[in-house]
Amino acid sequence: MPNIISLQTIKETLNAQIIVADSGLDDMIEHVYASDLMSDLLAFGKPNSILLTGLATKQAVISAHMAEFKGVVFVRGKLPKDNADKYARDKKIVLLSTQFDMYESCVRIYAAMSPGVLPTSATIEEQPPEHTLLSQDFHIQGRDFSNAGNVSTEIKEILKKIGIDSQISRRVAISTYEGELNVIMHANQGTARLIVSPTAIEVIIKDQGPGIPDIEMAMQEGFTTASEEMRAMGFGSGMGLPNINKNTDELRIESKINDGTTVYMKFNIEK
Amino acid sequence: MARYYHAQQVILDKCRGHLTCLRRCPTEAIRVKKGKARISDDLCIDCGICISVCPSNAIVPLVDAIDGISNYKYKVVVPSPVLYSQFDPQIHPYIIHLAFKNLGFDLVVDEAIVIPSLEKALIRYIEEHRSQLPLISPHCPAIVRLIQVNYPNLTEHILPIEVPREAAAREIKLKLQNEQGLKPEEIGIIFISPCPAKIVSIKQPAEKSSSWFDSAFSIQDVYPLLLAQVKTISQTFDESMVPKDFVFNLGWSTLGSISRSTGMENWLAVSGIDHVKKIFDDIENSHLSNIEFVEALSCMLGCIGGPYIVENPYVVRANNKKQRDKYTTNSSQIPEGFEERYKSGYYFLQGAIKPRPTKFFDTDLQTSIRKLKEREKIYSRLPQTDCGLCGAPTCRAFAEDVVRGEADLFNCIIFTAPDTTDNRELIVP
Repeated sequence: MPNIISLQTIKETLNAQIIVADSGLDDMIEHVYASDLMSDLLAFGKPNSILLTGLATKQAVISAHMAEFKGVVFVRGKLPKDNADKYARDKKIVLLSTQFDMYESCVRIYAAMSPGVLPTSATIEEQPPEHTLLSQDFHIQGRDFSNAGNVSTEIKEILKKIGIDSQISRRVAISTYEGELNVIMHANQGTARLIVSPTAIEVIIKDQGPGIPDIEMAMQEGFTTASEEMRAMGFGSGMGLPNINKNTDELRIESKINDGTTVYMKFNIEK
Repeated sequence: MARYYHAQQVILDKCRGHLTCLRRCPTEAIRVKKGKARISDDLCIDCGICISVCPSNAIVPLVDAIDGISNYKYKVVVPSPVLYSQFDPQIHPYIIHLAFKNLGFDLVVDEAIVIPSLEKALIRYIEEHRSQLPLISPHCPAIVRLIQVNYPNLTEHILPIEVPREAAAREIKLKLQNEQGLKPEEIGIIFISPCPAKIVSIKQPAEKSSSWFDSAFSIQDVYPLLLAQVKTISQTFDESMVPKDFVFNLGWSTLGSISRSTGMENWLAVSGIDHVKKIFDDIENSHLSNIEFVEALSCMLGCIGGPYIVENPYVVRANNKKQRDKYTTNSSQIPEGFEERYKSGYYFLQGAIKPRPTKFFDTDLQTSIRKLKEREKIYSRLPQTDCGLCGAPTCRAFAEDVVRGEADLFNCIIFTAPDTTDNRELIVP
């Protein structure tokens, strides 16, 4: 739906009766959400939308308000129950009621939003699944040893929830932990990005740190530039990068002196 | 029938929906629906915290009736060492043995009889498996279940050496069959437990099909019966009545006792589930590879802090210390044939501890991730105060329940309150 239309146009398109419209019908609507399932509305609804629903209750209006919608249209001539209209008035949400059913209301608004382009068939073009299913960023605070491992644990929790094999999750957790520690030990701050695609998990750890002068040397077991204090705390045994190497299916390190280091780690998901 | 046995139940008539258990359950296994607590069979690890914290005493141990022992011709009791420390240290432990006999038991056996050989086996196993360190003690069944439910990777780190209670029960069962010609079904071996977890481990062991025990009672239930006997016996007791072969060893019941008595160097002892979880996270991140042995116990202070104890745990600890000093018999003798027994696997757990299936969203990765995102989106619109009034322990758990279709969004007070904004301000400062 390329265009946006006003609430006024929607009212006319649906032949709707105004229940509440104290704030006028000039607001522009970018999306339409048609559902009776309020949890979906909260999860997927976008601001500046209008809700089409057969649920003429106050809950519908509250949900629309929480999702930052402009208005609610009750279909099949339903009228609000349990003071939903009073609530809508308080929250400056427009309430309309149309005699059309949900399907016809949708079609009419669609036509109004895209003049001349009524769909020839009811099938919606199936979007190809995007390669990246999940991408999430995590902040890593340099020198913050007391929270070392939080990012790794958080990522592990996510992988567990989405059903990733526990052996793979553990390799991701170990590698992320080592990468996280490197940032904490050497840089002021950094980020970890978790990317999940159907075939692999990637973790990219970036920092604005001193950089690694000799990556080949840093990959050797036991090589460390950690300070005495860090080693006293049990960190910086020189096993970090070798440990990551052992646990990843693909490892790339890019580093620039006085600029920062990026550690790219990939773990294949076996089919 | 439920897949997993548990040793507690909620008495619905008594539950007043205080939400205390909801907030304290370490695996978020509890939901309060229509004002009544419900415990998830899959997630409960039998730690017993809910039993201890319920203000209405509505969560009660599900234990065998004591008169059930009359079904057995020969009755043996194996008390948890914690039982002794419920009594004043002035009371000789042998008096407790006599009290059990007065209650109708034919034999009282202590875990002490197997502890020296198990400790030796434990040290030996650690030495032989240095690539798998750290190894985690299997002593606490709640911790074993925590690993099965929340740390599936760590099941390989569980030290597969048998625990004293099971080893003692087996030892005595086989001995009675061999030496006195009793049939297995004639012998009733009963454990006296400080916690629901050990009772569950007897009803439904994590690693094998059945326990060597036939039944288990709680310390709470047995204590009043013993107390009356102890008082009577004490009046006429003197130490010359203690038989020469009486062995006493308070065993693995306090935090750090395994590690100390084996003289291990690189060990770590941790109690309380929240603390244990932090250590397990570190082990999963391979941060603690310099540690050889982790003694992790679910209850604060170890088994002496179990939910079924009678005394205050700190009093129990003080008693325990005095009793160790006063009564421990020198039992460093390793039984003959240790070597053969070790090699034959006699000291080992009788099966592998496997992870329990974890609760993920969906078997399809794409669907799972969509649901995860849905959860986060719903969570972002919730008050995030973890008030618990919806019946879920946290707003995130509630969002997850909604996504799974197990809860209705309008269970959240924010969504049903007369004026959302005002209420939000009341709850969110």
